[in-house]
This record gives sequence, C-alpha cells and structure tokens, in this order.
Amino acid sequence: MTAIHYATVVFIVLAGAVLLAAAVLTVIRLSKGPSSLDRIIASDVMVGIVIAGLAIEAAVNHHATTYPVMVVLSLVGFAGAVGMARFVGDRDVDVVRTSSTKTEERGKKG
Amino acid sequence: MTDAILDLVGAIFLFFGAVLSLGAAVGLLRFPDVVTRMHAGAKPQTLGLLFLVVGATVSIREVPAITMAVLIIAFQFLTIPVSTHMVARTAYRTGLVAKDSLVIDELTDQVQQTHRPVPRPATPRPKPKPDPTQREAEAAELSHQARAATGAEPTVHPPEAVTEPTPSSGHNGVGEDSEPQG
Repeated sequence: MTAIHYATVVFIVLAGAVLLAAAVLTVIRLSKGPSSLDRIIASDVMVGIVIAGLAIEAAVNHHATTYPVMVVLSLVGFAGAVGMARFVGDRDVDVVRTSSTKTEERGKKG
Repeated sequence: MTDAILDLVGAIFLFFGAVLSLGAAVGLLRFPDVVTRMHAGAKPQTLGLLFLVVGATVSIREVPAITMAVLIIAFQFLTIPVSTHMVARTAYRTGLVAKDSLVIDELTDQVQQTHRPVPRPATPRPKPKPDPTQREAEAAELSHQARAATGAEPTVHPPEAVTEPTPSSGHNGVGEDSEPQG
C-alpha cells in the first residue's frame, strides 16, 4: 500500500462524499422548486449525478458493466425534460408568478 | 507503477467531476431564477460528466470502456442543449424570467412580434364555426331548389332520412321514400 494507492482511495472516497452532498441538495431543490421548470432542471441534474455515481462505481471496481447504463441515461435523459417543458411547463405559472417575479410586476406598474 | 499513477489520475478526475456536481447543486439551491438555476445545473451535465467519464475510463483502461465513454459524452453533448433550450423557452414565454435582472433583453420584442400574429391564425377558427351552418343552409336551399325544380326526386331524400333516425321521423321518411317509388 503505497502513498499513491492511499491518495487514490482518498480522492475516490471524497468524490463519493461530495457527490452524495450534491444529490441531497438537488433533492431539496427538487422538492422545493416553486415551478415545475425548477423541478425539471433539478431532475436533469439528478440524472447527471446518477451517471456520476455509476462512473465512480465503475472506477472503484475496475469493470465496465455500468457503462451501458450510462450510455442509455445520457441518451434518453433529455426526453422527459423536453416533454415536461413543452406540454406541462406552464401549468402552475399563475401560482408561481405571484410569488417569485413580483419585482417584474412592480416594474410594469411603476 | 504506471497503473497506480493512472488510477490516481482517474481518481482526481472523478473528484473534480464530483466537485462540479456539488457546485451545481449549491447553485441550484441559491440562485433565484429558472434561467440562473439552469446555468448552474448545466455544469455537471457537460463538464462534470466529461471529467467523471474520463476519470472512470482512465481507471478502467479497456477498449469497450473507451468506446462507450466516447458514446456517453457524444450523446450527452447532443441531447442536453435540446432539453435546455425547451426549458428556457418555456420559462421565458411563461414569464418565469425576472425581466429586471436582465442586462439586455432583445427577445421580448421578438416574442411580442411573433405573438401579434397569433390572433390572425385564430381568425380561421371562426370560419369553420359558421361553415357547417352555412353548408347546411346551402344544402337545404339546394335541396329545396332541386325539389322545386324537378319535383320530389328520390336522390334528394335519402340524406334526410339518414339524418333522422327517430322512429317518428322514420315514418315520414318511409312515407316520403315510398311516394316517389310508388
């Protein structure tokens, strides 16, 4: 167990921990997000974090088993976002507008 | 020894990719707007994923892994702009972008210009509404004219008999149909 091995383990463990924190923060935005568009963005980031976790798993175990899963996720991950944004993205706009973009309405009135 | 060094390089790549993901998550929480959150969220989807896939591939060092890593990066870079474009378009047109936070807003004029003709495509909508009644009226007039001109022809009556499926009108239809036949 040389110093290089030790540093490798430290970096991979740190990467996993940082990724876990990022996933937690993204889930918070996913649950809070005032509009459905915020949730769409958060779920897109979540797909990216899942791909990152699969990449770390592949690097730890030195096998390429999870690579097809990553290919599929990167290929179809955008379809849900496109569908949501195109068809149901403006459903709850009236609720969100009154809370988040009040400054714009003030500017229009003034 | 070179294997250990390559593993370390791969681990460092993985760490930087994870740090980019964390930065995106923090920006996602702290930024106030859909567009700014999208700006933050694009980092792990492009550069962070690039770092992570390169790190894992450097750690694995196999030909299938390299091939699929190229595929992953290519697909991600091709598909992410599509979804981001749609989300940004919907956000802008539904007013979720705070206009006073923009330095230059050249899109509002374009959107208003393209929104002006929207009533024009809507004008063909009233046309189909009077169309059926007008067609019915014209058809009725034509049938009346035909009746008046040629006397009760059997070719005019069958549509009326078809459109009146109730038994009371069926009696009339049968009677009317039977008259010219007889």
